[in-house]
Amino acid sequence: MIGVQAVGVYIPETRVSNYGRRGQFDLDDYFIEEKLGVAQVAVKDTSEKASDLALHAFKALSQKAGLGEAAVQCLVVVTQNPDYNLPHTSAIVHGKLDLSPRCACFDVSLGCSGFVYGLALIETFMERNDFEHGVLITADPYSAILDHKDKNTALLFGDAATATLVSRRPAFVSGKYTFGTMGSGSEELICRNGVLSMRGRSVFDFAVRQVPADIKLLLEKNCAGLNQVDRFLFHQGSKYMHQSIVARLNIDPERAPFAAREYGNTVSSSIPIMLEKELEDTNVNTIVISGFGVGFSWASGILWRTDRARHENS
Amino acid sequence: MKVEAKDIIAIIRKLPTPAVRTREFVVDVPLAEQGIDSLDTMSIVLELEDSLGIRIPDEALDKGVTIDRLLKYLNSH
Repeated sequence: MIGVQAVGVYIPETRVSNYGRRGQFDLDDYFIEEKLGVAQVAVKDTSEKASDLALHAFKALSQKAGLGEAAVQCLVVVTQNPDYNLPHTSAIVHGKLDLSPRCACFDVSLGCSGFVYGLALIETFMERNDFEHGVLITADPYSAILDHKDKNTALLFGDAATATLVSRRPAFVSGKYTFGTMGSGSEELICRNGVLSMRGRSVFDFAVRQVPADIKLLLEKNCAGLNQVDRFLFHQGSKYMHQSIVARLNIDPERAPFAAREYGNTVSSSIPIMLEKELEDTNVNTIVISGFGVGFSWASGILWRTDRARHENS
Repeated sequence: MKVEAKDIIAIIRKLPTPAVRTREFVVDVPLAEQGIDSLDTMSIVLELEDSLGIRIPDEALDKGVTIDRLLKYLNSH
């Protein structure tokens, strides 16, 4: 049985406050708190690349789970802002960590749906190859591609990285996943000539329409109901988008936290950052995760706490 | 199906913006001047599109959009 054992998180300490940009963007406090839901964004050092953030997250995971570098049999990095076009960032991380030469490494080019896709992928890859330990990294430093004068993006995106240990001693195991793509929206959230641009209305329409429908399909596929889910961990696009999705599903907002106030929308890292906390909460036994964005692409999954995890934490 | 002002106001009442749930709305004053910002407008339009099965273009949603103008567009398309 393969699943998530632990999550390590790295969020850079440097923050840029949106309150400090009220004049530049003609913002009021209500808009910052209730519409964006992001008071400040985390920003990496300009010299740091995706692999550096990944390294920090791996170290956090290693300390938490007691994972030695030699035990890692596969390493998957989810990023669309790799260190270079080539080689793949996972190979660079492999080199910096001095992982085993028998460790399989590859990158996954996905944005906000990347963690869910990556988890589905690494679980299957490990199962098929009888692996014991694999690490799924998300590291997508958007600060490098932001136009800092663009209100649509500059106030929203933050830098972070996560490392998820997938093993045969899981705290949570997954059910069936759902996936989707709407390539007609590929130009609505796009990086051209190194600069990100986003059409807010298109992204909003896509997310608020597709995600609730996908959650219903996911639950149907897994013979579960909305009321059986303790936490809904949605990608943290913006607070308003999040609330709109929650309202369409008609679920209690307390079961669907918005947690990005202090660091921003961290793309593929947004779900595992929240998942790290939920792993510790033994009252949380069923979690739905749903990532959506660039592509447009989306994926959802359901995670169940294992008996082993229940007993170890009781 | 003819859309009426009360249909749009009913959608406004369900927005995730508490401040607009109770206030009275005037149909010929821009929504932006009545506490409905661009995000709320996107929500209203999304609900209208889904319930009526139509697409409302960006051009119909400039900053001066009013309930009256929305109704005129919806009832002529």
